[in-house]
Order: sequence, then C-alpha cells, then structure tokens
Amino acid sequence: MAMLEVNNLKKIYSSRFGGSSVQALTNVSFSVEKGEYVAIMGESGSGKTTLLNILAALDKPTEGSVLLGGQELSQIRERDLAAFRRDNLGFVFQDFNLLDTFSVRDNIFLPLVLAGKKYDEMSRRLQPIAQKLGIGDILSKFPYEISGGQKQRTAVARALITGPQLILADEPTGALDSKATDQLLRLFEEINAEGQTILMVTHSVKAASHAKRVLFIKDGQVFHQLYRAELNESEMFGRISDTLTVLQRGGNSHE
Amino acid sequence: MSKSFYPQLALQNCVKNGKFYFPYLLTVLCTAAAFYICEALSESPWAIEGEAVRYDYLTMFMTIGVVILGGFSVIFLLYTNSFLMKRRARELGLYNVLGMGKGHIALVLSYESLYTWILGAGGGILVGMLLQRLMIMLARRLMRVDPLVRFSIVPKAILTTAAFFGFCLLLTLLGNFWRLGRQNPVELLRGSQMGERQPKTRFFIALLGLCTLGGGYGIAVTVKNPIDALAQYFLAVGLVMIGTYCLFSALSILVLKLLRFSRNYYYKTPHFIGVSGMIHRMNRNAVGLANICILSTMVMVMISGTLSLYLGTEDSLHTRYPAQLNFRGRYRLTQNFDLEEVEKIFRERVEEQGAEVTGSIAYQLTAMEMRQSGSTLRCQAKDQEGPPSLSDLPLTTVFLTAEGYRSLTGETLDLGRGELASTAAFPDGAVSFVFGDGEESGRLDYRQTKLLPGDFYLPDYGVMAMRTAYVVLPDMDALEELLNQWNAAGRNANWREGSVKWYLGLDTGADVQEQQQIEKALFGPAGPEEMTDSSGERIEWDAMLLELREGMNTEEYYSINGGFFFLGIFLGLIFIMAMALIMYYKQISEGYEDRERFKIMQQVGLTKREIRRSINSQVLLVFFAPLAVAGVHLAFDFGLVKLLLTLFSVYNSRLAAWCSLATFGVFTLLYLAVYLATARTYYKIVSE
Repeated sequence: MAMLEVNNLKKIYSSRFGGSSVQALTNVSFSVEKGEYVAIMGESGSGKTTLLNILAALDKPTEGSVLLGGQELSQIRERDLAAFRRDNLGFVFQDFNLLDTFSVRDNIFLPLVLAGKKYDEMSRRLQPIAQKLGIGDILSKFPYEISGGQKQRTAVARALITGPQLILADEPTGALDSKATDQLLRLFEEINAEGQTILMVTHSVKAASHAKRVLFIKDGQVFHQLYRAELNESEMFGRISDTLTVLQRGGNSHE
Repeated sequence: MSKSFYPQLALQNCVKNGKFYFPYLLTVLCTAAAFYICEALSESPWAIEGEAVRYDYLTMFMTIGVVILGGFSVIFLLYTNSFLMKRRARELGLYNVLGMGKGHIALVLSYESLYTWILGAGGGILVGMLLQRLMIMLARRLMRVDPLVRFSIVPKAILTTAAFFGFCLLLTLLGNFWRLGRQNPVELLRGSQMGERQPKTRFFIALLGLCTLGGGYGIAVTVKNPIDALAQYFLAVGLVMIGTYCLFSALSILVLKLLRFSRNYYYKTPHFIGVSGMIHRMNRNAVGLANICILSTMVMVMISGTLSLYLGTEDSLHTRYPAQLNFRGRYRLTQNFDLEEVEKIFRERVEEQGAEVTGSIAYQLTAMEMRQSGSTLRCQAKDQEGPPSLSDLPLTTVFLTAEGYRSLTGETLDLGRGELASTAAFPDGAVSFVFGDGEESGRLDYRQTKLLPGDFYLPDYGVMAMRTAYVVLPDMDALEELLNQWNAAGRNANWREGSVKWYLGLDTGADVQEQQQIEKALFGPAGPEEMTDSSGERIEWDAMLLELREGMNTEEYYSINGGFFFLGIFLGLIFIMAMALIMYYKQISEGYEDRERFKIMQQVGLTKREIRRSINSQVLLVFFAPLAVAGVHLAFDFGLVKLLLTLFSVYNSRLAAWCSLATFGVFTLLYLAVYLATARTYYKIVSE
C-alpha cells in the first residue's frame, strides 16, 4: 500500500457571504510510496500551496480524501491533529519559518519539546542530525546571526528530528543562493537515500530535477508526470524544461 | 498633478491607518480637552463676590496642573507619534520608491499634522467646553462651595490650547522630517520588519536597578519623621523610577535567562514558549512596561494621597482646632495668670451670650530644646555652631502637667513628687534635666514611672514634626520649678525668660453664626484686657488669641484639600488615558508580531488551544507585571505618605491605608478593563 494516497481532491474557496467562489483544486489524485522523492511543479496559482496545506492537514478539502500511512486525515479529530502533524510530518519552508526567539538548538528542539520529550533524549537525537547537516557549531546562535543556507539546514534538522513519515518541503530553495541551493538539494538526496520520503513543491526546474518523480499541476489538476529512473540530473533538467514549455503553450499531453 | 492631490492623499492616509491613527488623534483630543479645562479653571472667572480668596486655591492648583499637563503632553505626543511613524515606515518607503520625493512626502506629512491639529486641538477645545461646566461643578462640590455657576467661554484658554498644541504637533512634525531625512527608501521599506536581536544581559544595569530600587525602598522603610520624609521623598521617587527602568530592562532579562539556563524547567512546553517569548518581548517593551508601571504608580500615589487628605480634612481640623472655640496664649511666671480662673471667666462670658458650654479642654505646657546623652537631658547655654544638620537635631521636649494630660486624653496619671511619664523611654527609668554647661548648672532628678503611647501628640508640636518627646510632670509646681531652673541658668547665658503656653478649648451648642457672635463679644471693644480674677486683680499675659474651628477655617481647609483632590482625580484620569493608549499600541504591535510566530508554531505541531493559552498567559504576565510592581511601589510609598500627611495634620494612618487600598482596588479594575478591551484587538489581529 502507498504511504501517501491522494484521491480526487477538490477544493473550492468561497467568500464568506457565498458570493464568488474560486476552484483551487479540481481533481487531484496521486500516490507516494515509502522512500520516494517527489517534486510537484506548477506555476503560481496552479494550486500547489493549497495542495500542500491539505496534505499538511492545515486545510480541509471540499471533496476527496488524503491517506497518510493508511490514516484518513479528515477522520483525525481536531485536537489530535497537531500531535499527528508533529509525529508524522516534517516541514521545510521557503522562508525557513524559524522563530527569532529561539536559538538554533531550541528551534530544532521545538517539536520534541512540544511532544514532551526529556532534554537528554532530545540532545541524543540532535547529535547525528546536526553532524550530518553541518550545523554542529552554530547550535547556540540565533537565527538572525546565521546565513540563509544555515537557516534552511536548521529547518531541515527541525523537520527530521521527530523521525517523520513524510517531509513536506515548500519551495525550499526559493530564498537561497545557488551554492546553498546545491548544498540543500544534495542533502535532500542523501536523506532520501537513507529512506526518508520527501514531497517537495517547487517551481525551480533545478530543484525538481533532483527528485525521482515530478508531478505537474495546472489549473488544479495533475497534468503530467515524469519519472527520473536512470536519467542523470541534466537529462532530467531537459525533460522538465520541455514539459514546462508544453504546459505553458497550453498543450494537453498525458504520458 | 492636481493641487488637491497631497491634501487628499494625507486624508486617505489618516483613514487607512485608522487602527493607529485614530487612537493618536483621540490622545491629542483628550490631552487638548484636559489642557483647555485646566487653563480655563485656572483663569477663575467664576469667583463670585466674596469667595475670590477661596477660589484662589483652585486657580493655583490648576496652574500647577497646566504646567504638569503641558510637559506631559509634549513627551506623550512625541512618544505616540514615534510609534505611529515606525509602523508607517514601510508605507512612506513605498511612496518614495514609487517616485514621490522626500519633499512631497514631507508635504503629505504636513497636511496630516494640520488635520490632526484641526481635529485634535479643535475637537479637544470643544469637548473641553462641554465638560468645563461639569468639571467646575465637581471642583466646587469637592471644595464645598455652591456648585451652580453660569457657563462662560474663556477666550484666553482657547487661544493658549490651540497655540500650545500647534507647537506640540509642529515639534512632532519636525521630528518626522528628521527621521525621513535620515532614511533611504530601501531602509524605509524594510523599516517595520527588521530582525529583532536577542537582548544582551546587562549585569551592570541589573545591579544598578537592584541598588536604586533597594535604596528607594530603604528610604521609605527607614525614615521615621515627616521632615526627613519630605526632604528625601523626591530622592526616593527618583531612585525608584531609575530602579523601575533598570528592573524592566535588565533585571527581568537576567532572571529570564537564568530560567532558560535551567534545562529541566526550560524544556517544558509552556515554559519553553513563555520564557523565550518574554525575553524577546522584554527587549522591545521594557521601556513601555516601565512607563506603564510608573504611570500607574503616579496615578495611584496621586489619587490615594489627595483622597486621604480630602477625607482626612475633618481629622486635621480637629487636630488643629480641638474644640469649637480655641483660646491660645502665653504668660510668664512673674505675671498674674491662672488658667482655671481664665476658664471660669470665659465660660461665664460664653454663657452670657446664651450658649451652653458642653465640653472643655485645658492644658499648659512649656517646651525646651534639649540634647540627650544617656539619661541626661541638657539645655545648652551656647547654641550649636553653624546650621543645624538634619541628623543632629535637638530633642524638642514638651513638658505637660498630669492635669493637662487628663484633660486631653481623659486618662489620669498617678504621679508623685519626682516622678514623670514620657513618650520617650529613658534607660533605667532615671532622668536628669540639666540647665547650662558648667559645674554650676542647675539640675532636676526624676524617675520615669510610665511610658506614654508613642502616638500621643499635640497639634502645637505635631506640625513642627521635629524630634519631639512629651514629658508629663506631676503638677504645675513641678512645671514652675523647671522653668525657674531654666530662668536661673538663662540669666548667665542671656536666654530670654521662659514662659508657659496654655490652651483652652470650649465646645458649645451654638451654631456657626452664634459662635461668631461670641467671638465678637469676647474680643470686642470691652475685650479680655479688662479681665480680673476672683480677688479683683487684673489678669496678665503676653499673648492670647481665639480661633473658631467652624466657619472660615473649615471652609479654607475644604477649599485647599478639595481643590487638591480635584487636581489629583483630574490628572489621574489623564494619566490613565495615556496608559490605556500605551497598552493599546503594545497590544497591536505584539499582535502583528505574534501572528507570524503563531503560524509557525502551528505548522510545527502546536494546537491552536495550546498556542492561545501560552500566548495568553505570557501576555497576561507581561501586562500585569507593571501593575504588580506598581502595587509594591505604592505599598512602600505608603510609609512615606503616612508621614507626609502628618504635615497636613492628618494622623489617621488607618484612613490613609484604606485610601491606598481602595485606590489600588479601583485602579486594578480600570486596568483590567483597559486590558480586556485592548486584548480583544490583539486576538483579532492574531487570529486573522
């Protein structure tokens, strides 16, 4: 069984007094297997963010269902949602979303503290992750004292430390320079190679070319998908670019 | 570009920034209204024939009020304006980027200030005029003057208010120009979202805070007499103010950082979010919190102090004038004077006027400046050289007779020859009074058989508030013996001849008019100069006067204390308004700040309820910390105010305590109301 199953998702935003309504997702279905690294691509307004919010259980779909590890998200009670999110999902955002009030270490600890873990355990869990991400020597610094790349690696550490089933990344390279982008993408590949499932939303071709599979969304539907299989990065880059060109011309291909 | 573009843009800005701008406008309006009322009341066109003198007190108080309000308005408007401008930095930056020169922006800002002036100062004057009559009625009621007066417009107050607030707003405008000139558009754009740094731990400031606060409290605790209290009051206030700023800006951060250091405490959900949030918040808000704290303290001190004074008016009247008719005078031992005879004569004369004497108090005393060493009290022949220092004041020793003490307190002291009672405790119960410096000095030996209660005082000396000891001697003979010794020693040292002070108080069933009749009859053409004693000899004295408690004296006391209380309430209300505005602005800015954190924490897996709860308790703590500290300040202040009130003859410290408690209670309710009202705005922003 797939680890993440998305079936016929539909999301309609209507204004409070029922006047106009906007259809953000028309009909989205796909599934992600354990250990996969999937990128979702699409232009602004294609429904990417809505999809991600629904996957994160931050928003509810109008129709359709999302199953994570066999668990139907809409069946989880409101008050258990936060704990579910904490235990099963890790988030990496474009603008890092680190809290100014915490040091790097405390930012990473945040989900564990919320889960009521002891300091010793948190510390034990942090050590290997910090080492792998190369942030061991900035743990006591505050977010405003470190570079964008370091911030994003801190955010990745925060996402990894709970050992989540799925990592959701929203334009993780959007605010990084090219060097930091390369570092982060390599890091994602490494993590993925160790078995971590990753779902990334992006419109960077470069970022997407590192994924094993790329889904294209247009007008609220999955329009197309590409498997990387044996392709190398630059070949994949070309394929994605081609697909995007077709997409923008308004083509209608389904592979 | 059309000519009306800039004025219109300015108007739009004001409306668009309503959340920040309207409270600011309201502040200008309220302070202007208060300023106008103060100014109008200080002009005193309402003095009705015959009460001009009484009204003068209010005029004087309101003039003080104008000065305080004026200074306060300048500071407060600059403060709120700077808050407003910080919030708008981004908007102004955007104008600049979109192609408006700084000159154009300055023009827009000028129009905004003009609107503020017209609406704020103009509206303030109108509101002031509406409230003017009400305020005057309140003031006059508190002063116990007929409250009904005609309404009248005070042109001078209108002009002064308009001009003064024009000046204030011009000042803020210049400040804004300066700010504008310094910034470049990119900075302006970023202005409101600059990263907040972690506060540094400032040990020195924390230590300074501890010392100044301790010093201020120390003064309040150790000072034992009113003169010292008066001398050191403002020192103590200054120290506590400095201490408050240090406390909020450094000490709090130090404590919070220590908490963060403790892993077992810190890494628990509520503490984790709370402590880190507060460290963050303290950095930015320390000054704001200290301001709130100091404003709260000021309001409470002012209102509780003037309230105690006002409610204590009867007390101070009764202290200063123990009876309706108060005779006071002085005579020398060589003169023919006997208090009993005098009392009899005055009683008769009062009764001749058709009034009944219902009670009387009579006592005689003599007072000497003495220096104590062990069980010896010495009157020195030579005066101390140089000005007297506060720490080395002589002991004012007041000698009474047992009979006088009984008349005052109703308590009979059983004192034999060579025995005395005193408010001061002498070692081994032995006391020697020594007159002069050398071997030949006179000396009287006594034994202390009773210690009098420490709160015994006479109005004649209570007001002086020096170090005072009361000594009760067995009888008049003992008092005369003491005076003779003084006189004997004084002949060598050229002292003036010692005299006996006496007091006679008579209560009658007469009303105020009748009392005034009696006063006229007693001190009229055939005045007391003609009095003779029972053996027909003329009675002699050095000085004598009669004072009535009721009538003019009572009116004057109420004019002063009522006017003072009115000023207290008036300024108190203005300060509360200022505090409400600071709180409102704090809530808004924190709301916008927390909204982001709120979102992030939710994504990381905190429930909405938990977030609400933790932010709630944090905000609550941060908001009520100033009130708690202000309460502590007030408690320590009470020690000093209690003493200061004795300078106004209010010895009723229980009344003062109740006034402080009641003020604190009412203030807490108001504070809570302001908090709840502003907290709603906060939640609206956070949950948007």
